[in-house]
Amino acid sequence: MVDFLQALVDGVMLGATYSLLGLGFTLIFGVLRRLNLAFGPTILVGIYAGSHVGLAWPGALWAVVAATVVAAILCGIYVERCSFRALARQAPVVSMISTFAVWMQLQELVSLFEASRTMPYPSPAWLPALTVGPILLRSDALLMWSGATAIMLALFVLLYRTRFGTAVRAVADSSEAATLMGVNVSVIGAAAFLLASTVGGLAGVLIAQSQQQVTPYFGLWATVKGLTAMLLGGAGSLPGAVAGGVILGVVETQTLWHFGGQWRDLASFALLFLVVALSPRARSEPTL
Amino acid sequence: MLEVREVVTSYGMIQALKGVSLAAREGEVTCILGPNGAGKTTLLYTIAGILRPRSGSISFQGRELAGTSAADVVGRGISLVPENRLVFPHMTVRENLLAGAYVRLGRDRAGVEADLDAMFARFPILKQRAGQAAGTLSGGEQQMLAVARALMARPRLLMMDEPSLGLAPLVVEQIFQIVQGLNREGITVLLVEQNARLALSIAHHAYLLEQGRIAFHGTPSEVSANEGISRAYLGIKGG
Repeated sequence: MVDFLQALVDGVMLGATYSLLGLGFTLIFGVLRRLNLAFGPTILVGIYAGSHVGLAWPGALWAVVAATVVAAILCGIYVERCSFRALARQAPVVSMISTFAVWMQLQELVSLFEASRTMPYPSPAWLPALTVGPILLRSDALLMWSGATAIMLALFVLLYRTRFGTAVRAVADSSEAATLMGVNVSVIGAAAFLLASTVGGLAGVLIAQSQQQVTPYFGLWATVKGLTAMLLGGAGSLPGAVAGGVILGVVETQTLWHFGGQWRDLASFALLFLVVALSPRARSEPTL
Repeated sequence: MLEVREVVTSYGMIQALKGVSLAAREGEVTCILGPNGAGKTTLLYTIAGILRPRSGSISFQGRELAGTSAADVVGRGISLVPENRLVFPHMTVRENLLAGAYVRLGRDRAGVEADLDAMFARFPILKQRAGQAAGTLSGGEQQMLAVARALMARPRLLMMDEPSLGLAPLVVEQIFQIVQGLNREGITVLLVEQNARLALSIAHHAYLLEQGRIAFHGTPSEVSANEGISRAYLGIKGG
């Protein structure tokens, strides 16, 4: 029972960062109706940038955070220009395939310039771990959860309580009707992309400080987690992406605890297949 | 109030509007009749700034409109209730109305809140459904929401594209009463409608659009008196 609870708590904390990745995917998919497979690799570049800043100025955590987020945003703008703005008139699948090409570009560039491949990422070592009864709350996991929760709250206030958020959700629901209301759809599309990149960069900080290192395969890892969280939550629903991320996290940690690490990804992909195959929600139109 | 002169709009090589001229006079209901594919929706979308005319001019209250953005057109006081209503299905009724006021949401929050209350007073069913996703509303309720959403931008000219489409006869009558009521309050209406009889019953002036050209225009009684038009659009046997 304690094992189950411990794995549940760990899963919720890990899952909160999956939720962030899922929200990034959902924002882009909902507003632009296009999949951005290069979302994970843009975060990868951000984390490498943060890692270098961390090595150059040990202890300057804020600089590490800023470098990670800014580099992820710049990469996001690059993807938006290459695969979305330049191909806006092409079929959505053309954009998706081009994001795959950009993904490989980014991953290969990182592999090329990072001779050692695996780079360290700083974490706030001064944070204490907490114990609640028999449950241990690791400091890095607590930081993942609290950081992700704060970002999600801010994001939901932005999307559900402001004029900008109304426009974003209106475009996602019907870009034609949104145009009739006077919303500039292409401006909102670019802004949603920027917002997703920001969320992605912040998620990158939270995940990297927990893993304390990064390899060029992080891009693949982040894209798979984000895509799975989005699809588990119904492909296009913002609250769904949050739930999808947490479910994915819990399934992973439970599998890890009870069956061992080698089963972890297999279990989450089996779950994804079941949800996509069985749920009408997962196959319905994207919505925010 | 609205003056459209020799407007040509094309989709690629296909000319949908081949030089359309018409006027909507202040305080009146002007209706545009015509068969499917005549260019009625294209005309409304051109006025709304979503489609760019290839040539011709559109003036509203004496100022040129052709070439301005859709946002500017809404800001100047023209709103469109689109065909098939196009409510935002996953947003609540209240959020749909707020989206309708998008162009003034940033600078006139108090005015928007007041208009929201006014819409709820005018359409009590929307107040009952305020927190419900718009996609769960019936067709008639969605049409009311689409009208209310357009009104949230405080238009002086309200354009409506086939408001009766897919609605039960009783509901259609209700919608037309609403349109007539709005017109009596001073809103100028430009109405595109397949149900010619109903449209003529509330219109002051009517245009017949055929294959991208205005084929005829006049008062409703002049339209009804024209034997060919009556036969084609009102189902009256000439004799």
